[in-house]
This record gives sequence, C-alpha cells and structure tokens, in this order.
Amino acid sequence: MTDPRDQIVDLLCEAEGLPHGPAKVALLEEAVQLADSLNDLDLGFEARNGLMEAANFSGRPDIILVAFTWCLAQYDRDRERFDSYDILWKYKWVITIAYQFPEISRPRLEQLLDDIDRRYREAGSTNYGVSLVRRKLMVHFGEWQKARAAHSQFRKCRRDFLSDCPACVAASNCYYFASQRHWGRAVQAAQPVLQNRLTCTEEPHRTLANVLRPLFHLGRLEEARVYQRRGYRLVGQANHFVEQHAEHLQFAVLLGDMAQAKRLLERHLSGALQIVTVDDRFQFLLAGRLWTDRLRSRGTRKLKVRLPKGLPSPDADGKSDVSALGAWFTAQSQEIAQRFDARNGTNAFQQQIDELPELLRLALD
Amino acid sequence: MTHRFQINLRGIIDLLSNHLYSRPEVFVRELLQNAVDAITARQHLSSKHSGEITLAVTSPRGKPPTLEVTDNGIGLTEDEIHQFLATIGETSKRDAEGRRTGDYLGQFGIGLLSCFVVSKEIVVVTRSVRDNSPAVEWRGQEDGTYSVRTLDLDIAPGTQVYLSCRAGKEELFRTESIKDLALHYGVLLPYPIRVTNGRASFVVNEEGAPWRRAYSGEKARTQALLRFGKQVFGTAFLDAIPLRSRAGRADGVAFVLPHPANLSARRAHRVYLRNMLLSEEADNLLPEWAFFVKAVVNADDLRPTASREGFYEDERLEAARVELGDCLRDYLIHLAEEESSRFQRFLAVHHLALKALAAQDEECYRLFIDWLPFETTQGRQTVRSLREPSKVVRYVDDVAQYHQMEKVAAAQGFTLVNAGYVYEAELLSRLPEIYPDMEVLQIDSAALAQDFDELALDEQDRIHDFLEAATDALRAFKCRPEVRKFKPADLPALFSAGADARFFRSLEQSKETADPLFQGVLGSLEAGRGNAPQTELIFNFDNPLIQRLTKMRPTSIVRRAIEVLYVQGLLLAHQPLTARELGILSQGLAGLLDPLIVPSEPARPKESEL
Repeated sequence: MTDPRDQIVDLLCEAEGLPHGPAKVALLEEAVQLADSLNDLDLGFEARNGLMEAANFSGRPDIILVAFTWCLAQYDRDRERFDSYDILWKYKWVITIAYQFPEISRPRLEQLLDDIDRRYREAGSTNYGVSLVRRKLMVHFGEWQKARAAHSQFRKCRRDFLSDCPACVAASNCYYFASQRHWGRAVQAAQPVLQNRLTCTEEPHRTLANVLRPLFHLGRLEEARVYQRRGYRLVGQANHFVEQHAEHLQFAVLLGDMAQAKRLLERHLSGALQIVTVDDRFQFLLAGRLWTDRLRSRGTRKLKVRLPKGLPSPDADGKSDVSALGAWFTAQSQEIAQRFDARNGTNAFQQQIDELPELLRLALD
Repeated sequence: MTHRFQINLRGIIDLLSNHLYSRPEVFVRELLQNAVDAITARQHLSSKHSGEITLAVTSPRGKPPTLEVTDNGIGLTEDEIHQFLATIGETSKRDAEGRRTGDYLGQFGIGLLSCFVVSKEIVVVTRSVRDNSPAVEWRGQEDGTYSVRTLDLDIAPGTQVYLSCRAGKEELFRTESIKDLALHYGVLLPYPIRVTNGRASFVVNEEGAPWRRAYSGEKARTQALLRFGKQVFGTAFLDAIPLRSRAGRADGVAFVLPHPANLSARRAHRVYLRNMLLSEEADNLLPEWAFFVKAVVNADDLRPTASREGFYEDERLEAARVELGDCLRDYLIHLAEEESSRFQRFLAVHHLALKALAAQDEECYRLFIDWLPFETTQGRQTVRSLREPSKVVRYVDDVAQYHQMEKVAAAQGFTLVNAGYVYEAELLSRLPEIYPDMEVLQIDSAALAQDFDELALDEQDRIHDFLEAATDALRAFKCRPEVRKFKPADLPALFSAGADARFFRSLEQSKETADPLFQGVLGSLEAGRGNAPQTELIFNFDNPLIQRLTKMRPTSIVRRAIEVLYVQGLLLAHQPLTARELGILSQGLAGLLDPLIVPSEPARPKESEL
C-alpha cells in the first residue's frame, strides 16, 4: 500500500507545477487535510506554508488567517521544531489581511500590531518591517498623523532579514504618498519599479496601476497611458487584482474612454463582488459609481451592459438604466464605508465617497 | 588638473574572469564580437564589403596550442591602439543595458581582456583601412605591461589576434571546441566564420539562419527547421513555426514541445541580438500562453537587459511580443481549419496551452472551444461531445469537491465536468455567448443531491423518527441530515461540504489550537460571515444498513451509529477531524459495543458535552 505521506508529497509537487489560482489552493487544502488526518504536524506545517503562498496570490487571504493561526500555535508550542522565519515573515501579511475584514475590531488589530512588534524585537529585527505594516494600517484607518509618525520611524530603520523586498517597499511608498495626495512623490517613489529595476512576484503589476491616478493629477497622461497598457497585461487575467482593476477602470473613466471603461467593468465586476477582501471591493464599487456618474454627465441614460446577477435588471430591450446602476453602486459602497468607518472610528471611507464629484470634474472628454 | 586612475590590469582580469564572465569560453564570444564590430564599422565606409572571420587553431607537439582570430574589418591605427587601452578604465563596465555600443575602441579592449582568462600573452597585429596606415603589433602581458611597434609588413587591412593557451585550458583550444563555440555564438552571422587547423578548414555557419534560407517547399522547410531544433536543443520537436515581427525587427522559429508543458515552468528561449547569441534563457519574448513552444529568435532592434539574460521590458518588446504571438495564433488557426489530424495531435499534448489562449482571445475561443477536452464522470470529453447530446452542461469548479461527487455522479449516470483547473470554469461559463440555447450550470454537492431520488410519502413516514434523531445528533456539528435514494447502494451516507463549509471546518480546527488573540481574530472572522454554511450528511435509503437503522426505535445506539456514520463520511471525504469528532470515534464505538459486552448495564446517558 502506498504511504499516505507520499500522497501528500505528490500533492505538494503537483501544486508546485500549477500557477496561482483556485486549483492550486484546492490541491494544497487537500494536502493540509491529509496531513491533519494523519496528525503529521511537520507535513501539516509545510503544506500550510504552501497553501498560504498560493492563497496570497489567488485572492483568498481569509485562508491565510486560518492557516497562519494553526501554524503560529504549533510554533509557539514547539519553537525548536518549526522554522521561525516563515512565521515571522507571514505575520506581516496577516495584519495587512486582517484589517481588510471590518468584523475584526480595531482594538484587536492594535493587539496584533503589538504582538508582531514584540515578536520582531525578540527575533532581533529592526523596526523596518513592522513600521511599514503600521504605516499601512494607519493609512487604512485614516489616522494621518499616526501614519506620518510610522513613516518617519520607518525612514530611520535599517533593512534586515525580515524586511519586504525592495520592490514591495517602493510600491508601498508609492501607495503611501498617493494616500497623502503627494502625487509627485508617489510617482518618484515608484520609479525603480516602473523602470523594471526592481521586480518581484506582484511588482510591477500593482504599481503600474497605482501610479495612474497620481500621473493623471500631474497631467502626465502619455506616460500614464504607457503604464496602463503595460500594467493591464499583467493584472487583467488574474481575479485577485481587484484593487488594480478598479484603478484601471477609474483611469479609463477619467480619460473619457468609455468603451474601454465598459469592457473593464463587464470583465471585472463579478470578480470584485466575489472577492473576500471588502475594501478592494469598495474601491471597485467607487470606480463603478464614477463610471455611471460620467455616463450620466455625458447624457447616456440607458445602455446595454453585461452585468452579474444581483444588479438592477435591464428593461425589455436589454438595456440597463444608468441611474439605477449608479444608485446600486452608491448603496453598496455606502454600506461598506459605514462598516469600516464604524470599526475604525474615523470617516476615511465616507470621505472617499464624498470626493467623487470633485474627481469627476477633472475627467476629460 | 585631472588625474587618471592607474589600472591594475591583473586586478581587472581577475574581476572579469570571476564576475563578468561566468564561463571561460566566453572569450570566443568576445573575439567574435570584436570581429563583427570591426566588420560592421568597415561596412559603414563601404557597404559592399563582405566580411569574413577565420579562427585558426594550431596544436604543435610539445608546445601549448594557439588560436589566431583574423577578421577583415576596419583595423586599428597605432593611435587607436594606445587609445583603447586608455579607455578601458572608463568603459570596463558596460553601460546600463549591458550594450557594447558605447566607444568602439574601449569595447574592443574589454573584449580583448577576457582573453587573458585563457592566455598569458595576447598579440594583436592590425592594419587600419585608413590610407597609408602601417601594420602595427601590440603585445600585452597579463601583468599589465605591453609594447607597441609598427611592422614593415604589407598585409591586408584587418585585425589578427593570437592567443597561446594557458596550462589547464587546453580543452578550450581543441579544434572541435572552437568549432562548437563559434557555431554556438555566431551561427546566425550573415558572413562566413571559418575554423582551420593545418590544412583542414570548415565554415561553421555555412548555411546561416535556417529560417532565412530558400526551400523547395513548406515540407522541406519544416524538416530543415526541425533538424535545426534537434541540433540546438537536442529535442525532437512536434513542429516548427516561423516567427517574424516588424517591431524590434525580429525573426526566428518556435518549436512545438513534444510533451505537455508545465504552466509555471520557466520559459527559456534562445535569443540573438544582431545575430550574436545574447542569452539561452530569455523568458519574456513570447506571450504568457505560449508555454508550449521553445523559440530561437534574432532581434536587430531590441534592448538587452543589464544581466544579458534577455530583452529589456519596454514598449517595443511588448509590440514584438504581440506580433510573435500572432504568428503562433495564426499557425494554430491554420491547423484547426485546414489540417485536422495535425491539430488533433497538437491537442493531445497541448490542450492546456490552447485553453489558456482561448481564455484570453475571443476569436480563438470561438475557434477552439469545441475541441477542448475536459475531465468528466463519463471520461475525457470535448466540449462538442458534451454539448451535442444535451443542452445543459454541469460543472464543478473545485477539484476537491469534484472528487467528492465523482463516484456518486458516475453511479447515478450523471455527467459532471471537472472544471477545477485554471481557465476551465471561465471557458465553460462563456459557452452561452456562442451557443445561446445552451445552459451552463455550476453545481456543488448540495445541488447534486437535488437530483437524487426523493422518497415516496410512505417511505418518508418510515424515516421520520430516524431523521429526527439524526438532526438532533448532528446539530452540534452544524451538519444537516437528509435521506435520499442514490447509487451506489453500498454507500450508506455521503458527506457534502461546499468550499465555504470546508473553510469553516478548518477555521474551527485552527481556533481549537490558537492563543486567545488569534481565537478572537478567527472568532470575528467567523461571526462576520453570518450563518456558517452547514455541511450535509445525506443518508442513502437504498443502503441496507440505513434501512435497518430506520426500522429501529431511536435509542442511544441509533444515535451513536449516526455519529459514527458522520465521522465515516468525513473520513471518506478526506476531512480532518476536530478533537470532538475524534472523540466520537472512540466513544461512539465503545457506546455501540457496551450493550453487547455488559447487556445488564443500562444505556449510558446522552453525552452532555455534545
């Protein structure tokens, strides 16, 4: 009879050969299940490590929270047996994932931040990695002062073994400056990634989308169009780049390219509605709302558009009412904004909704 | 005043041999490149000049072998010789993209330095094509000293480089090695590279790029290309597809792999820049979906990366990639439309690549969708064979769930498609766009159970008590019991959990092990999802054991039997057990056995913790 452990190893190998996506996640989940049914902690740990990687790049961060919890508990029970590096490294993911679920309270998120801080100190790490996580979390909360404090703390730290890769750091800086509306600095921070001097698994995929809005504000449209084309090729196929799909949709609307905007919406809306990370969905809903507002201001009241189930249904001619769609996007995004703002104790999300008319005024014909 | 760095040549040579040049044999590439640059420069002066490069090997008895490389390029004057050494310091690092485009003389010097890796002394005899230039000899030693003198020799313009083999590098100076290396780096060059040893003489690139030659017909062309593929990669490829792109001025050939390609495997194509080998590991030259080919491509107008592993990612490369991709796409369309037997052969090996292409390109989707094979409960079937007998296609987009349902679906005579792998669900769900009368349903195990036979009214009466007991027993596990009739009859119960339910099971399991902080995090996550999706345990009315259980009075024995069937269902579905479920295995078994072992003892009370 074949050793069931061989079967687990086979599953891990088979998963290795697949690109990230639901199939890979499913195989690794099966490997985890098998390892657990044999009560083999080492294989369970190894399989979960693979599962977390795959889930991270397949739009299933919720799986990471669950798998990580198990790994951390095993690690705390027997620190000699399991590799601390993987645990500490992935802990950064865990926090940036956890805040995307509005049901996890703010005190609990802050406890997680304290916990990772303590663990990184114990491991002899500089504050580099943790302060980046803190900065990101504070930007999400809309706690601008605390975000700036984390930023200046980050600037004082040395890179070390637990620091994100340089490409990810550049991307994170771009994101941070854009959140502060420092458009020029955002683009400058992104330069090494835009020029392909720094790359990694998800860069320049994200940054090529995230610089579109800063470049639009700076009026550097030709440059932006180049990055848009390059960037969409990288994220168009993968369902988990919802935030980037939103950036591309928003950019098409701002440029007045309504045909492309419609294609993007048709192609990515259902993915955005399915994604478990609600703030990514929120960004896409905002872009959708911008699209309907733009259509209306151009005098389009009805149009044919392929939409997933659950949206206002089209009339007898198969045309959808633009106002009804706009109302739907507004209601959906309001609901998410309320949940986040209630959790965060700020009004950062509502503010993003309120800023839409201002953005719409900048849109080109 | 300005100063110059004193160059420690020995140090530079070490640097070159240890860092810049990963392998000693690159000196052949550098010498060829020097010759090519010199010939190109001369052709700028007189465009009709036809280049020629000779590599002459000698292997005298009792002395180290030598190599003499001769070109009929532009040649150097004495001033230029002094200059190339002076500029080495400035150009010894290649420019940001690793091009040898900057200063021709400096590049010449750098190329030459790489020869110290295999030779202690380098002698250059050169005569510039400029009027009245005398022949000049440069003699350089590895310690950095050199001498220059003019020669009273009436030689044709051009350059000769003499190397004398360092002890231990003899292998590189064998005629065969030199031939192989010259072929390796320079096979595409449009003028002859001759390798000689004594009276023996070969032109290594006699035929030039095989895709640029004229052939008697398509068949002869394909055969010649396949021979070339075999020679370069040692693989007998399925087919050869000519490639051409105006962007980047690229041409070449793509070889169809004879075995299924791994979707995430690194693509490694062999690329030439202006006919000299650049890299054997370029990975960004073709579109992502083109993982079924290995290509050899020359580009005259793309930028190399600094590491010289391939081409720099810019707009021109992107345009070239689109054009090269179109060549592959047109080839596939031609196969599908005109040559069905070859297309079938292609499909048998590369259906995954075709799925990737169809998912990304609407025209290809229309053309290929009918041919694409899927794993189904009736064996492997193409989309056409799926849609012809029925207007409904049912698929599962989750591999684990498919395997859970497969046996039962097959026993029911129910066609179910496994669309759990990349692109598959997307491809199927788009079918109605082309065939509007088709219905495509994504189903899970609960939906499968909908198709199981319902019980008749009187049968429902008979199982009423049993179902009550099961509901009660399974409530604590968030599992809902049902009774249906399904095949195979020897399966007493089918555990069914959608992807959501599986997620919650693993969440529970992690929570059991976690510290309070993470228990809280997972608890919030769980609460945020609303009602946990229930799992289902579907008892099979046609199964003899279930028949017997439904006829019994609902005692604690029935309850324990239900619990054990539940755990058995979990195990059959490869679900790991939580601590509580593990407890059932031991307690439940004991509970079943207790009355048999000690018949006088009253049945134990219900487990309070359940």
